[in-house]
Amino acid sequence: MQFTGDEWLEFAIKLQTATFRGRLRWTGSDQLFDPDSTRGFSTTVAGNATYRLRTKDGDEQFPYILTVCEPDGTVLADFVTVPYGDDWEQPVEAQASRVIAELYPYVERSVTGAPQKARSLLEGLDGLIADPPL
Amino acid sequence: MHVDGITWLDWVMAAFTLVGFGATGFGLYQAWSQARKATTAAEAAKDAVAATRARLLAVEIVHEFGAVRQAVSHVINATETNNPEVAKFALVELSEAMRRGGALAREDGAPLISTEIISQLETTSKLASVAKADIARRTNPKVRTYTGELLEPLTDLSHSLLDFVTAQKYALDKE
Repeated sequence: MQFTGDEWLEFAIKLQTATFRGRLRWTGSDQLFDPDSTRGFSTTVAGNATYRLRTKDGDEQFPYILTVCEPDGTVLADFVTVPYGDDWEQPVEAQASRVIAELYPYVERSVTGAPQKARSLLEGLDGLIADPPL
Repeated sequence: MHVDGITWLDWVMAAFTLVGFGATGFGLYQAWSQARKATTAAEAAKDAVAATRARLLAVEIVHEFGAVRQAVSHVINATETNNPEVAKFALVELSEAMRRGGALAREDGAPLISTEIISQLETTSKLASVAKADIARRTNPKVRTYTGELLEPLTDLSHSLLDFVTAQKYALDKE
């Protein structure tokens, strides 16, 4: 199955929005030496689809591959990110690649629980520097 | 010989008892000796396994370091010819070989490798991946812009690895 560049851009934007709003929970690991055979982070929209995001070379760096699967895991289509520039005046594949390149580190951080950890540590520091009540 | 109350039969029984003690003692000695031999054999087998494992590990490390050196030369060539496709491929190759080499070098029984080289392998592996990502992200990138800073440390590392590989090959040949 093939999706168009416009469709991939929509997938990327909607996945990014849902993830940033905390509506999607990503799990898994993208480590090359992980004994788990299915490398990459995945998330499921119940009864609709499963999305898998991983690096092409298993090194946590660009390029990335976004895979859309049926809920049972059957692969529908893959999108490998392409080079992109800084402006939005570029092909839709490049725009989609840019969105995915922003999404990947966010997903990676959320899977490791880094944002929550940072928040709790910062709250600890806030407690130290807060002015004592009068 | 006859002592009051002790018959010849008692003397015979006493003699058998003594022989019995002797036989038991000999049996115990034999058992101890066998156990000792078994322990020594088990230890020898364990040592042999450890030595073989260390040799295999050394061979693997030599192979991996060879792959690192080859990838370094590919990265240098790709930089000189400004070929982004070859550069990306070589940087992935380099990063993977460095990661594998570093992991093997940290294993128990691995030949002594300076911690400086191991940490250089691990750090440079990440830098190589970042350089590859920088090249892959751009259309018509100039390879040297992203690999330029890596070339000198890579060349130094390659020389250190060559010294290690040469020494290991000599040691393995001697064995």
